[in-house]
Amino acid sequence: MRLLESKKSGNVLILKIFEDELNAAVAERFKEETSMYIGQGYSRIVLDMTKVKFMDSSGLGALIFFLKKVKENGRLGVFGFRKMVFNLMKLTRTYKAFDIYNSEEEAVAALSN
Amino acid sequence: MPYQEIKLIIDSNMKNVYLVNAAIEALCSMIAFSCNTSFGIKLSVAEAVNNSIIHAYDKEPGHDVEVVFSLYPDKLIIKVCDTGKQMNHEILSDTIKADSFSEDNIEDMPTGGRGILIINKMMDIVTYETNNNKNCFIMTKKIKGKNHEITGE
Repeated sequence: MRLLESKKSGNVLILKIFEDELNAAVAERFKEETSMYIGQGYSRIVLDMTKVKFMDSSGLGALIFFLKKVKENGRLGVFGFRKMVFNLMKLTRTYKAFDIYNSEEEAVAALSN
Repeated sequence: MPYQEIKLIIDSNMKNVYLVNAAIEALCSMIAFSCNTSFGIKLSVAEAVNNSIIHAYDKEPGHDVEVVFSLYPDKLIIKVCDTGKQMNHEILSDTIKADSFSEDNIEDMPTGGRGILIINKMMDIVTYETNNNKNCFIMTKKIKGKNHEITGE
């Protein structure tokens, strides 16, 4: 089963995580699937986190890995962080590295420019 | 003596992380912790279990990871134990690498090594002990208020 579902809006790729938990059990799969999309040439990517209720340090590490890969020659926008997931990012001071938006529309608009 | 004690033994398979997470969520809701505290406990136990599976057992299934929840009137003590490779005890107090980066420079930002840092920040007391080839993360969360009991009501 795929972890991510994709759709396009203009030149922006939108990836939605379809797991409730971004944890150690799926972190490697997340890295593989996101790397596949980057390998296909997508450089403006929006990540939809709305379904993710729980994230551990392995999941966070996978997110940072993805961010670094995209930033090599592109942009990543993220939206839909739930409160507790975002609390982990605040606790680890990692949230500042991400371009975080309030909605899919806002993220797509920002990355389309 | 604790009020109540619950022991879970899982196989060292990454898929079982979900099982432990679901169990902790249910337990925390019974003790009526705040959402923040419950999340912190769930996260800390997940990190300790990950540590056993990934580092102690090198992700090899077929080994036991034991999780023991002991509820006292004033605290919850959670032990996560394995019989794999012992962790370097110094790692417990050395979380500088995981926490020393510039937020403005993502190249500096590590992709791993935050597990112990998270546990230390989320729990009140954290120790790591090895006795008779059994390694245990012992994490204590103090309980404010009275009459905490796992009732399920």
